[in-house]
Amino acid sequence: MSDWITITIDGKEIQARRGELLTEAAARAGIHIPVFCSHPKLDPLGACRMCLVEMEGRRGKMLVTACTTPVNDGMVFYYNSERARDARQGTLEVILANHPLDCPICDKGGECDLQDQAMEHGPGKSHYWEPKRHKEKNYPLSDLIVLDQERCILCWRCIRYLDEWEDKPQLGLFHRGSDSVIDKFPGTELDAYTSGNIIDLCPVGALTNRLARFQFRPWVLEHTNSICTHCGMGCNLRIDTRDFRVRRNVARENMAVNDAWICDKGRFANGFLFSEKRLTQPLARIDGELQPISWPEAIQRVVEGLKGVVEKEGPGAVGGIGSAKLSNEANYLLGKFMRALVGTNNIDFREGSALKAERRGVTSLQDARDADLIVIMGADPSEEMPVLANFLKRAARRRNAPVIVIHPRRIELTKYPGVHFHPLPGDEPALFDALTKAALQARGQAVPNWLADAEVSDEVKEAATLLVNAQNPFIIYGTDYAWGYGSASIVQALTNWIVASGHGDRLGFLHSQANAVGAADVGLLPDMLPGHQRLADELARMELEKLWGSKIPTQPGLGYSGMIASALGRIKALYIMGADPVGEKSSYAEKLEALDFLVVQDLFLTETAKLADVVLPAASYVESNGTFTNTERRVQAAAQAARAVGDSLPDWAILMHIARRYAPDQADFWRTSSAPAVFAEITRAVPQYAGMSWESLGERGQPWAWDALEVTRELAPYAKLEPAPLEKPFTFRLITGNLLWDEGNTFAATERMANLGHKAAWLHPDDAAGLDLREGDLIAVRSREASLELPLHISSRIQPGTVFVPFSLKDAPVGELFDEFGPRTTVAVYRA
Amino acid sequence: MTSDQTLALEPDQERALQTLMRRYRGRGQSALLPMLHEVQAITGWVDEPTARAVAHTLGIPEIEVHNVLTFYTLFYTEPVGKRVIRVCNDIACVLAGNGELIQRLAEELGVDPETGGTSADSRFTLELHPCLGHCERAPFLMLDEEPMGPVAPDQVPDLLGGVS
Ligand code: SF4
Ligand code: SF4
Ligand code: FES
Ligand code: FES
Repeated sequence: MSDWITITIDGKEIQARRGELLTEAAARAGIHIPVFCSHPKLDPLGACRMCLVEMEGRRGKMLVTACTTPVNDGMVFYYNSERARDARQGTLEVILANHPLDCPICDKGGECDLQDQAMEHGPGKSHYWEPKRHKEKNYPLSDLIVLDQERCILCWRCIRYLDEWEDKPQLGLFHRGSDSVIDKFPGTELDAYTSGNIIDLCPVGALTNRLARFQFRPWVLEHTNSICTHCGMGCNLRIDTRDFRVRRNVARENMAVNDAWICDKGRFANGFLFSEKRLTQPLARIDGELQPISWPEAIQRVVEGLKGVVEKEGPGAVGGIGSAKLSNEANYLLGKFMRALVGTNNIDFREGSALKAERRGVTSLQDARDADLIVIMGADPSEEMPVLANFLKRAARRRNAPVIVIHPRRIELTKYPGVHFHPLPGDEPALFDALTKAALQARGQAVPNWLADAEVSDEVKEAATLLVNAQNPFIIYGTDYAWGYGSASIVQALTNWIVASGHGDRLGFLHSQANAVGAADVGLLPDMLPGHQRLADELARMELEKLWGSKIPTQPGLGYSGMIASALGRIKALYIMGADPVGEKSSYAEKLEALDFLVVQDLFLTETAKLADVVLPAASYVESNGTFTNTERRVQAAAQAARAVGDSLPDWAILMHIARRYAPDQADFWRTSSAPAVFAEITRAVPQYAGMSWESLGERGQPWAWDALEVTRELAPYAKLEPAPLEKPFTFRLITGNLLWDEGNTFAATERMANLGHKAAWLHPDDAAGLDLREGDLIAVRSREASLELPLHISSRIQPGTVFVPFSLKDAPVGELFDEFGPRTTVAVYRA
Repeated sequence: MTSDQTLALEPDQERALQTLMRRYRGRGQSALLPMLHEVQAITGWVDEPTARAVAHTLGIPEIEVHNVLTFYTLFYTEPVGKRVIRVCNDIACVLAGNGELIQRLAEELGVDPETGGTSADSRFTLELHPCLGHCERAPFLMLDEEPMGPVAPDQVPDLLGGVS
């Protein structure tokens, strides 16, 4: 290609791309020019002078910074000349003049660019004998990161990352000359959600992980490729262990998924692994109390308990609940066990059949980065998927992609230009109808009768036109609109708009749970088989029966809430794996108590586990092998990195033991003895996974194709949404949603992060004033069902007339409030 | 480094500041330096809330304002006297005997001659500076923006007394 040019370095001709930076061109030719400030993921700056080389110019040779010099045909450079070497040596000498050289107690020692470059390019001896400057050595930037200003070499990487990627410029370079320091604005905390990436970026030990500090020397660590399971993005991690114990998580580059970034939850929130509260042995209810028993005994009890119910009440009295947080292997085997051995289709997970969501997730994460328009409906990427949010921010800032937001809260992404709507709960369909009408009009298409009355405002017209004209829009909706009362109507209404705009095939759903796509892929749904095949599909059923060696019942089963509700009726036994319905809604307790037999398999003794007849201790995903399918359908492997706690066992292994004992005559179909082998079976059960294997997933994972599952989307009228009545005293509309810093089981176990959570119910300033309430006042939020007491947070980010209670708050689970209108109920708010 | 104190402004200063803020609204990064000069001319020094207000007025990150405030020594992030005396403490002035001048100034103001400081009545701040670029007038000082030199120690009382 004409793009290739020739440059000369130290007399050697090399091929380079026109306009690329000299550092990049040289690296391709095997010349690694040392850098500090330059980083491939950050804009060039030229601040540190480490990369000086000589360049042939019109007036002779001059020193230039290689990291900021784009190359052009015929340019001549000297990297190894005496002057260039001297210059670099000088730079290092000046950096080292005030560097504390406390390598023996520095977390970075052993993987430090300054050490490496001092070895390679340093003078070996210093001209300086003056005392070194002293600055802050132990300066916390937040609860998570600590800065050592003496070790800092002022490369600006941390400053640039926060600005260029997260668009939260919270660090700066203050003062000047030798007084220069990195600092935050006085009185503020570093609270960016992906702040930990600056630890990975810092070339020296100036920024360190406060939670992992002083617990390892880098060279003794074992590295294991894993992924993060805190959200549906599936960011790639490297888990560093010593003595089979996790010491830290760092980001692992995967350009298709997370680039080189992870969020602070993925990096720091791993305390659940070593929590004192982890279950370490099986428990069984003996004389009314949960008491430790052996694994063989526990398995025997589970088998007998389930069999007893099946014999007395039939297989339809048993149900299995899995989890979108657990691996494909675990969920697949639970489904297989229930269908093939117990003989019931009562299987589901919380975000399973109840979610009116696009099962395929989003078109691709790369699409988010390439977008020329961003449409976000009922999702908050900043809180639910911070790394994705960063991609969207970059598209907004660097590609000038307008951002259309439709959300009950003024979410962070509304800071970018575009059109933002904040419909109250219940008003969404009307907005989408208007957008649909405007889109049809913009494309010169007929508007059906049922849309004739929709009112098209100027803003609606603007948003509709933007989408109609977009070439490459990234369009997602989220749980807020797809889960609970009325979601079928809202989802059809928003689908109408996207279809009417001509982008029907780009509408994606943001699955916020790590394996929400995978759990459905492997068929943990009451009416669907693995591979999104209908239960009614006889051919698919027969194939599966061959693979499983048993008949599959044809009658669709009960879903998640159906099973729990029927615990007072026809359901007599439940097997709950990695889910805590009682923690979410305490009134579920009396239902589960009515069961004849309850098995709970979990990391912790959850509220639900406390009611169980048998509690099985599960190993966490870090302590077992497993695959997870992220929100772009990418199947990724997380390899075992740490030793399981106590006697806990991987979920898949527990199920395998139980199945073999449950049906010894079927043992041939339950022989698999490793997670990769279970995955191999999954690839035969799930057509979209055909051809994959544990090995083929490799370091990058493998997505199944968007069109490997056909989905028809049509413009169609839908059932009108009847919003919950606003009547005294229930005069506020409830809104819910996920915040990154929640107080859920896995997160709260990292004690050092406990302060980050912000436990509060939010009100608009006008409403707070109307009720004479102040920030921090204890308020009661009461529905027809229950009441919660929470401190008040006043925020103009929500609409007047609404109260926002985030999910997963400790001792205040918003689920308690849900009545027949689910998360869209109306509530009373008053001083507690 | 940065003061925990905040500005206590007179009503007319407050008004002047508000007018200034209106004038600079939304003008972005390039207006930062001129704006800070104007702000400081009204307030004497720039406290945290004012720095924040400047950022919000211009529509730029707070951190940028702080970068600039701490980079230029002509900006103050701590209370300073009504008038600032900057005495040169560089080689030409040292050779011309600025030691006595500094000593005298420090005595009159009751501050440390090694570091300078602000007089108890907040009327003056004494600062020691690297070369002020008027070596031919050594020992040299600047009273606010006004260059003076050579200055003899016994001129100090007049100098201080002549200032309102
Ligand atoms: S940052 Fe690098 S050179 Fe500096 S103390 Fe740490 S290991 Fe040593
Ligand atoms: S803290 Fe680290 S990344 Fe930030 S400027 Fe200093 S050396 Fe660079
Ligand atoms: S790496 Fe080139 S100037 Fe810093
Ligand atoms: S040395 Fe004093 S003005 Fe130059």
